[in-house]
Amino acid sequence: MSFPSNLAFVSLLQYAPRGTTPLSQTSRTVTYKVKSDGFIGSTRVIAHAARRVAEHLGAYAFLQECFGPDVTLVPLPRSSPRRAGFLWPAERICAGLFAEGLGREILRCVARTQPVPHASSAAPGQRPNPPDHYASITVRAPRPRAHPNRITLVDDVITRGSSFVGMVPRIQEAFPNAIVRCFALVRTISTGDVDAIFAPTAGTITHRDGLLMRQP
Amino acid sequence: MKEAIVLPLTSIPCRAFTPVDLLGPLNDVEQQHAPATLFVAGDPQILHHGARVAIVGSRKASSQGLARARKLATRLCERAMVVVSGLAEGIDTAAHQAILAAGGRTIAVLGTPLDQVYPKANTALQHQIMRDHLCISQFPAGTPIHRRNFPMRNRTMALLADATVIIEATDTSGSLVQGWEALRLGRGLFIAKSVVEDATVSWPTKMLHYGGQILSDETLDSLFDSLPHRTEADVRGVIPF
Repeated sequence: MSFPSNLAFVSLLQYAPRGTTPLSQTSRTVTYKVKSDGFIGSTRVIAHAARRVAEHLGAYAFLQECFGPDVTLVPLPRSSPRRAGFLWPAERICAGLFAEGLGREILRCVARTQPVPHASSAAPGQRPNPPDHYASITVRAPRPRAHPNRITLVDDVITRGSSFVGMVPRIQEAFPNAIVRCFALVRTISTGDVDAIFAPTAGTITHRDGLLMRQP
Repeated sequence: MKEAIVLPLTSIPCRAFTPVDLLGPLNDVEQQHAPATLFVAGDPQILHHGARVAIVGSRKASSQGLARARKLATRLCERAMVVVSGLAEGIDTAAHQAILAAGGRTIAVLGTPLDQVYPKANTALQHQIMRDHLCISQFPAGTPIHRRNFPMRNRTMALLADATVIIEATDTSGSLVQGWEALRLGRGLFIAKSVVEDATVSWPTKMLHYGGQILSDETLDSLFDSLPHRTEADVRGVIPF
């Protein structure tokens, strides 16, 4: 299996898990609310974020590349297999985006069959690499309304981007004619602090010689 | 079930809230097992400041397990986090006592109504938490104590906590109900490394398969990193982006 050596990604928010400023600490709360489909006050954070994507679609070409009425939204699985009824944050984000008219349909076709270590908590040498993601997922009987021309893989948080690099080939096997793009609602800033939480970003994940680097 | 006792609660006011009153809006997954009413004694403001971590485990805990519960409670206190537990004997009691000794804040989630104590040995501890911290029960005063109350309580505790840590538990422990509920809700579930390595229990392997994480000195930061930095602004509704 060959994995993409350069993969573009798009994100909307950013957070600093170990930042010390009040804004960085708030970014942790926002990310927690994304991962738990929670509320701040009476506002559902995922729905608010989806609305922000819709509001800024015209201002950012890279958002237009990811979303639109002809885009099939595919939620990425969590790092572990999921029992029926368990919360699935990426699926919730897809539902929020769909409600804003940013996708044609949600295709829940990717499932995790074996757990991989959490990217955010594993020691540097134990973080899952693209081959681990590729081997631990399956694309199950996709039945889109029509064959999708544009697919956007949707995740809650991007750390190194390993899951995107590992899963894009699986999606391309199932939909060889589709253009596949990658969107994460939150981008991790692993060291230092954030100067804003809302920070629409287009970046690149580089995968060479087994090493991953996300920029920015 | 041991005999419960009725507390003379005349000096401690108890109030009834809905979960939404206390926690804010719930998503549909959270609503599924949320009780209709929560009876509260103490200061509900404890819910509005700092991350909440549940420390749970066996009633008949080992001395090492008790020490781990105390150590974790102390570490959480250093970060101004709130320890949530069930006021049962063993791990729960050790966690509550340690956070109180360290000067931190704690929430007890009871499997009995607020007007009863189980076990009796925790009467003074329950009074202290009701007076100075927060005690929560989903069972109205006078409700008979049944075994089924305790797994219901464990699901409620998972809802109230941002993450759950299981320090020690057998394959039949009520803590496992809480572990599965935390996973269902998408909350962090952390399992002490010592129990993961215990060949006499099989549950850790199952929970690790579905998203549980191993907690050790080396991975403690991942627990802290996963938690929200809760402030009053979360309650007031100032969305920061």
